[in-house]
Amino acid sequence: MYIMKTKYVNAMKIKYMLATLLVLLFGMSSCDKGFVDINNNPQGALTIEPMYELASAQIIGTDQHHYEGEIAQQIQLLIGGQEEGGNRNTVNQGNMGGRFDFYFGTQVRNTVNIINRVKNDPQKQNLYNMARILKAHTFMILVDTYGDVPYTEAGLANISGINLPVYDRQQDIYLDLEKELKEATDALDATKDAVPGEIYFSGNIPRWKKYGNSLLLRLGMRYSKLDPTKAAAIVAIATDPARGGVMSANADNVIVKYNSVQNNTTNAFCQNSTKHNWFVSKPFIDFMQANSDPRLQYIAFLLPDPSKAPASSNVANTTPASQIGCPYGYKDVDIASAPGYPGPSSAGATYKYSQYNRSTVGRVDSWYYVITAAQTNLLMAEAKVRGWLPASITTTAQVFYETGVKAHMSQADMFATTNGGVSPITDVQATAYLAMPNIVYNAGTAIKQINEQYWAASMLMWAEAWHNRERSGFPVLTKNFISGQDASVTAGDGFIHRLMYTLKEMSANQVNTQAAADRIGGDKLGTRIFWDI
Amino acid sequence: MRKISALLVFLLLTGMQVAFAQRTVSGRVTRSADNTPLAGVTVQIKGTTTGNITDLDGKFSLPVLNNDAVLLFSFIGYNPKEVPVGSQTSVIVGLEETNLVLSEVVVTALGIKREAKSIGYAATSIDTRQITNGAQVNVGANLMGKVAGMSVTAPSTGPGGSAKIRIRGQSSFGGNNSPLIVVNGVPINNDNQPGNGNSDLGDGMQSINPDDIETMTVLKGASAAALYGFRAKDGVIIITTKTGSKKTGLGIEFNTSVVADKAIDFTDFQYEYGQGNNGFRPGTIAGTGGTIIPAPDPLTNARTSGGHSFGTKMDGLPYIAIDGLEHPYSPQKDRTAFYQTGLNFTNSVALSGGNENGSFHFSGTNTDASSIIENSKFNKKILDIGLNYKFGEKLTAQVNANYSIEDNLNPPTATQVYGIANSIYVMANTIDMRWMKDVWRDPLTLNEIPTQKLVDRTNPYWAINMRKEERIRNRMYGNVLLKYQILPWLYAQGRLGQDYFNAKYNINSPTGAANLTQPAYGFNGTYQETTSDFKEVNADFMIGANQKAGAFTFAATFGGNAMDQLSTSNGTSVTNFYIRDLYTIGNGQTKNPSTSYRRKKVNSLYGTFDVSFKDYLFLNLTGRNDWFSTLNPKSNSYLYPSVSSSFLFSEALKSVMPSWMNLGKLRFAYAEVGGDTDPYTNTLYYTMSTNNFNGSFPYGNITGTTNPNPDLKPLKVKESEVGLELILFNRRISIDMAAYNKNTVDEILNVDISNASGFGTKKVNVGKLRNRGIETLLTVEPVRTQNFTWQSSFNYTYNISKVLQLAEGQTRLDVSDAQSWIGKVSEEVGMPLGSLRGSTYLRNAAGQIITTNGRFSADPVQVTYGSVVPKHTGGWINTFTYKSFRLFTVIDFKGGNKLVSQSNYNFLREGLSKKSLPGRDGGVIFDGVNADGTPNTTPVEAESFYTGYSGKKLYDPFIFDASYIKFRTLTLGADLSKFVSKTFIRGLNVNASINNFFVIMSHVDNLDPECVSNVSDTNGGIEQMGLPATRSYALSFNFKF
Repeated sequence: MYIMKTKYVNAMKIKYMLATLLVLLFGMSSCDKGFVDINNNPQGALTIEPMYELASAQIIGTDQHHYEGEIAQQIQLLIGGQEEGGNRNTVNQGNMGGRFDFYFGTQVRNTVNIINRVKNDPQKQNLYNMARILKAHTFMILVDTYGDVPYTEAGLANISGINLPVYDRQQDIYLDLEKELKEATDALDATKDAVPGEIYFSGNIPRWKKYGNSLLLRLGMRYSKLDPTKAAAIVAIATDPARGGVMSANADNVIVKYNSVQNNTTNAFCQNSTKHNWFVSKPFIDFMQANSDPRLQYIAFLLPDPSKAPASSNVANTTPASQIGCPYGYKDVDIASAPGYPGPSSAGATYKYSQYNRSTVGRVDSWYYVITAAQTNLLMAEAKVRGWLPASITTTAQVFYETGVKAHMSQADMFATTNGGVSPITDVQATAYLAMPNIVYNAGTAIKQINEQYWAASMLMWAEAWHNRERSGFPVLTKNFISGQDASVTAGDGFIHRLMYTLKEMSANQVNTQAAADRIGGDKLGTRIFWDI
Repeated sequence: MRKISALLVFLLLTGMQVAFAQRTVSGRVTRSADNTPLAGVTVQIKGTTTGNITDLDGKFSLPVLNNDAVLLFSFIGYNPKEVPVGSQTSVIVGLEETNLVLSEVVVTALGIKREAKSIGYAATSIDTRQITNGAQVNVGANLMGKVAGMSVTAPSTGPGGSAKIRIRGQSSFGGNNSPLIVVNGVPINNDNQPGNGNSDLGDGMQSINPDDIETMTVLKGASAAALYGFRAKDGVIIITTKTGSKKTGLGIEFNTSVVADKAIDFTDFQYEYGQGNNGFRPGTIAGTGGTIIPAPDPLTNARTSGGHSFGTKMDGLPYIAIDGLEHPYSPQKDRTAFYQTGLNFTNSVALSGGNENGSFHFSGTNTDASSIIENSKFNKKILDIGLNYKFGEKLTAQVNANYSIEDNLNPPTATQVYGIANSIYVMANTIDMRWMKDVWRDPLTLNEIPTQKLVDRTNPYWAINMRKEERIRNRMYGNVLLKYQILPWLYAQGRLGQDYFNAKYNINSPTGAANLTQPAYGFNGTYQETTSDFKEVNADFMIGANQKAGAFTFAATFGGNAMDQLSTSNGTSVTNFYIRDLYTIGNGQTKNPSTSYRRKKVNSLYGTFDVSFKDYLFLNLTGRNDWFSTLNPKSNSYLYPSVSSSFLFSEALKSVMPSWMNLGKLRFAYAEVGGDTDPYTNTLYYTMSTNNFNGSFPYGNITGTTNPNPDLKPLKVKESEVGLELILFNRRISIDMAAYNKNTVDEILNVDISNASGFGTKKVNVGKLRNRGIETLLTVEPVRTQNFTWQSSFNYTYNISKVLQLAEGQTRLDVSDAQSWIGKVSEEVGMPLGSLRGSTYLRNAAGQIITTNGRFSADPVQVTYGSVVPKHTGGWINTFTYKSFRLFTVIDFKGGNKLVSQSNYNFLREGLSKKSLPGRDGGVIFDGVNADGTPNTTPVEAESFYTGYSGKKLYDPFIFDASYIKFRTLTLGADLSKFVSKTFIRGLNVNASINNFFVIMSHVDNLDPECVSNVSDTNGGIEQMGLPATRSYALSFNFKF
């Protein structure tokens, strides 16, 4: 009986234990119940309307003042170290990758993603083609800046898992950009989907066509030294009025309307903590002063204490004749020996050179011009001089030239709207300027005059000021003889012709980057872009 | 799975028992030494599983079958005893305490108490007296130098700051390598909360009042921590708080302490040349002398050259200084004069008591601490309650709850902007910053008055008066435990724990600060308000059983845990204002809302199986399986096994062991544990911008720059260790040694991919690293007499790490953030963790520095200067007891690591350090060679030369050996109870201590050797602008009523 009772107890226990075991096993199979839902972020969107991505891509990266503005000789600083770059023609990797990283990370990623999402969607063909134009614009600047870059495999990490894209030949990229700009512009159709959320023209198709065509014109002109025949052919297509024409008036301008909330990042430097180090360049001020340029009073000012904001105790001097541009070829240690050095007489205080006027063009909320009617009219003037325009366009080169100059003078916010109460440049002033001896249209020196004006009209659009000068050779700028500059610059013509691949790219995507560097003739500041011969 | 089934089968097999009653025998068990009743003693009928446990009076009753029955009495800490029942109906039994050495009990993972001798891994119990009398507000900081294998750093970040604790090195490249903190069996959040500008808003240990701690155990190895599975990679600190003791009567305890904190000046600057630039000095009103900065006016000159000591020779003549007044051009040496004495008052009162069924402990603490900087304060209030109660014979309940309110106001920042300490350090050597006490705001413009040209360096008085950063955290954590003793050998328990906090954070960047951008209209400045909540709920259960069969004893547990963690935050930041100096969201021009939501769950099942043979051979197996919500459902389940074993050769071979061998133990362990993963890292998300562009255009983007990876898994740590413990000569000498090998595999890395791919990085499981080390603890008691004892213990840890593998083809991974201008921490294959990297001088093949026109340049190829992780850590603790007096000293050290000092970089390039003296007259002729190999003979003007270090990321002169030896603590304590015995006071203890007493050895110029002001591992070894170290003087009283 004793034994039996024991057995009975054990049997009870075994049953109890088995039941427990079953409960546990059952429980275990559901140990991850509901986990998929938990790991979906309720605050994260799994998709968004692609138009919003297009808007992001349009808030296009503003210009980089460490290299581009200094290569174009429009801005200058004297100190070295962190801020060094184009002012001393030296390699400072920290300051030359911004364009690469920002454009690929934002413009390229967004446009490639939009194209992938909507290319087969008949309801979103205008959006698709706008994304193509914007993508082409982005890559044109990337090629002009770096030469060979990833193109066919770019921006595809989340789409096809390409983490280390190959670099395409710059010549091939340009050929595809030409095709893309033409096709996409032609495919835009006002009867198809509306794209009201794009920030340039709220979906206005004729203006988009002008934007696409003006880019194609710019692309064609890039071939003017390398292959004039090809240049003429592209320009003829781009300017064919039947295809919608190019930008002609300021209303056609592509503008990122920065404001007090989203600031113009190119201009923010005018106000940041090293504001006292940035000056308008001597060549730029000299060009304006030599021709009594009415724009100068809006562009530059002199502050008694450049480190402080303009105030009643720090009244800015905007008199054009008083402006002093900062020369190239000097460093903080030897600037005192520069001709016309304005002081102070020892390092440690701030130099008394002119700065971009923080009440007008240097405001943090001023608009950023992506591509303008002023630039396009000037390109048309040159194309006319070269005889590349279709016969149907009868406007003279002089008219294109004068229209371009006047368009820049009346670019709305730069000289009128937000200038703090200063009256805009009048037509009388503009006309008087166009009659100045060196400015008045002269068929013999037209190419030089046109491109000098293009340089002025591309003020604060430094990448374009730089690339167009490389293309045209104007204005003629004095090379920067500064000591200690990069050997590839000294070995060439004394100017930086491209920026280098980023250190990160050289380490993360080494094989592809090295192949590209070998192809283009070395990853150097002095290496020229294919059209820059 | 298989392991868990095996456990259950084991439970079934051991379930056989006999339960058959004939008559009842009752009795009482006492402690034989003093005949006090012993509660909780297991009384068992030998050879059966029939048994009971004694109550609070030591009484028990038990059914017995016949007169042959033998009662077996056992109780942890006492020798077991067998008593034949015979015909007795009542027995009185006295139990003798076992040899203390063999009976020590340790609280291990999941709160399981185990005899120390049976443990096969390294676990260290901390004497709580060593942490209650320290002068640090954070309990973690008081652990410095006290535990072998544990490295503690308490950066100088103010009284509300964090403590960095690392056990056996750093187990992963980036992220969090802090040990898990478990309070009363439930993990609590110990994340460091970084504020704005590298300020330190504290960590989770801040919420614990040291006086409430009953026990503290450090589980160092993976096997020790294995039962915590995915949370165990960095070891565990197990804390139990007081729940009172089952004594009748009420006890009241009152603690009060005051700590005074004084800044220590380590600077050794040059005082030959004063404020100025390029050999010029700021002028006098009269404008005499040819060496005066000529323009524009003396006051402006004083304020633009305030950061440079490249002036003329000091001559004591008056000049117009930064405050606009005349001061002599003379040395101002004391860099600590600006700082006030930080005061920290802590008062706590505790009430405890108990009866036969339960006990309680209730305490309240208030800490009021002011930093050495004005307006920088920390206050915390803590309420802690612990209860336990026994419902009848079998059911016990325990409740612990801790509520705290922590208010951290204006924690010091360690950046240039608003870095008060930095501004003080870099001022020229003829300036006393206190001159600016009333000169910080322009009366006309109401804007900041800068003290030097680089306006990012805030006027300290502007910072003190205008800037406000505050974080108030309300936190409650605690748990409820129910335990049911089903049978004498079988129990079941369930527990529910929660850690919840809400933090309100706000910060401004005041209008008019010199570094701010001019807005289009209105006033510049920023303001931010954020509310965040954190909640973690852990529900767990456990079934435990133990059995004895002959020479074998078995114990097994089986349990499970469900963790649910949710953290959310909600805030708005605004930029620029309409109305001046009104810091509200409504007054902001641009409003940027931000929210975050992170939830994850981990479910776990675990079990342990212990078997011992004859009390000298022990084997312990554990297994834990975790299921993660954060991972791909196809591969979200991971098993973490461990095995450990302990062999007491002193017991096994007792007959041949010499008599002086009190204990000899060998231990072996192997375990695999894991790391945590973040939610939502495997999916691509989009985010809309918070403000429309230009008011009317919404825009959005793919979120983040890391390409998501759906196949991530948690990293794994595989660790093996061996240990030896010896207790010799009647405890005069104790030795505890361990050697470990800890491999981390599947480390989650953000691998760089081409930015042209659209993303900057991709998360992958590829990294491997290893930590190897030995840790030793030697304790000797040279003197032990009736009145005087001297105990001396020395702990030392040697840890060497190695990066074994990064992503394919990747030889280096940069981990430090880009904020620091100087210093970069990388992980490099084949090197120890934490390589400090930077540029060095450009040299020729012969190693000589190449100069051009007398100037050096930086080699574009960066070099590794060494590791920022210490190889050697340890401490030497002495305790002298004379009658009722106790003297306690701690000396601690770290060594084998490097740091780069951004402050010393400033001191050199701005003319403060003695290294900037050569070449003041006639220029610096640097020790280098020209391109053709001939010695450099070109002098370069001194300021121009030393400024040449700017922006080159060239670190040679700023790299220091960070090894140090410090006399950390000196404490004198006295038990004055007997002097008050005639009053109502039952006990009185007094402690006086000095913390951070003095530096015995250091290699760092001008700064404390522990000047690295950051608890993060990724920025370890980078010194940038922290507060000066402080020495603190503490006085504390403990009253018992």
